Amino acid sequence: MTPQRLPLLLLAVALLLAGCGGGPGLRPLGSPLEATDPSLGLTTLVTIGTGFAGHRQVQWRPMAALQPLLPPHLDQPDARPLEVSVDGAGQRLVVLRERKGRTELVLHDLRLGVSRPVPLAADGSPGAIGLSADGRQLAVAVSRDGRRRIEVLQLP
Amino acid sequence: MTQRARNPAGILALLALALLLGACQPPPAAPGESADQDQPALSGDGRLLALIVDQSGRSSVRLIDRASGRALPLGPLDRGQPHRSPSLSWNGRYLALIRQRGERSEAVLLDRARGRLLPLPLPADRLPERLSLAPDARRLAVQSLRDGRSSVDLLDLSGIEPDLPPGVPLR
Repeated sequence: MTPQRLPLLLLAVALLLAGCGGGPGLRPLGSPLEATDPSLGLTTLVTIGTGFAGHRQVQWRPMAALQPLLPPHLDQPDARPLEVSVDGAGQRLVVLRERKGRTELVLHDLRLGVSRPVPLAADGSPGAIGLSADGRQLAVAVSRDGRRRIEVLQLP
Repeated sequence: MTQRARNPAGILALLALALLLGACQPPPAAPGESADQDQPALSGDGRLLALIVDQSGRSSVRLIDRASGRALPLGPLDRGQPHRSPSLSWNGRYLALIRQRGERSEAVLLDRARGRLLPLPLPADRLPERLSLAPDARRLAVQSLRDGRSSVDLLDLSGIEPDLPPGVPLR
């Protein structure tokens, strides 16, 4: 091989090695967070973390800082959040929570500062949830009569 | 032809009996209809629904076009069950989930526009438990288990093409 071709060979080897991964590079954004149940909007991350005395609480983080914020009205001492799902704008979120021995769904609108219960179409126990990024529809796993089915609810 | 067969009342009685017996039979179940469903995820406008269907202990992802009720093909995801924690980008170009590969769980990203399954390699000491893909597919949040404790990592996916702008259908 001539010395003139060596750079071309090195470039070819580099390109070959770069292509071996097969997937996108994953670059961590910050340190691991002590939390569970992540839900991503475009610029926000919502999780369930542990607060004072082990109390589970919904934590809302702007991605620029990743410092948890606790939006008012979200944390209720008599309720235990089980799962959370946020819309793309990071302003509407639905919390599946346990309260008084029952599971229930609550819609929080952070922009308006209001919370309201999300009723199911019929009696049943809500489970896993997924909110559409436009914040208008909620998919929920509902246990009823010994079976678990997905139902999609239109939100106000 | 017999006298009984010509009797209109007899024919009506037989017809009513047949209808009655028919009504006692459960309607034929569509494939997967009787299976438990769980872990729903919606695309940005709710047009697509991803869910996990548990049939005979085998958990598989399904992607449903809600307008038609049709299950959409997921090509490379026909294998690697059980599947867990599906998450969709806004237009449903990308579907992230956790699948089983041998003894290990791994996070993968299906690019439906190109029909490619992209591995999302995590550090070897972390077992993925739950995923959430940002609507534009630029970031991924991964809940994983390490040394018996769960934590959440936020990962940058900017090496892939972003999903199409909201409302632009996938071709």
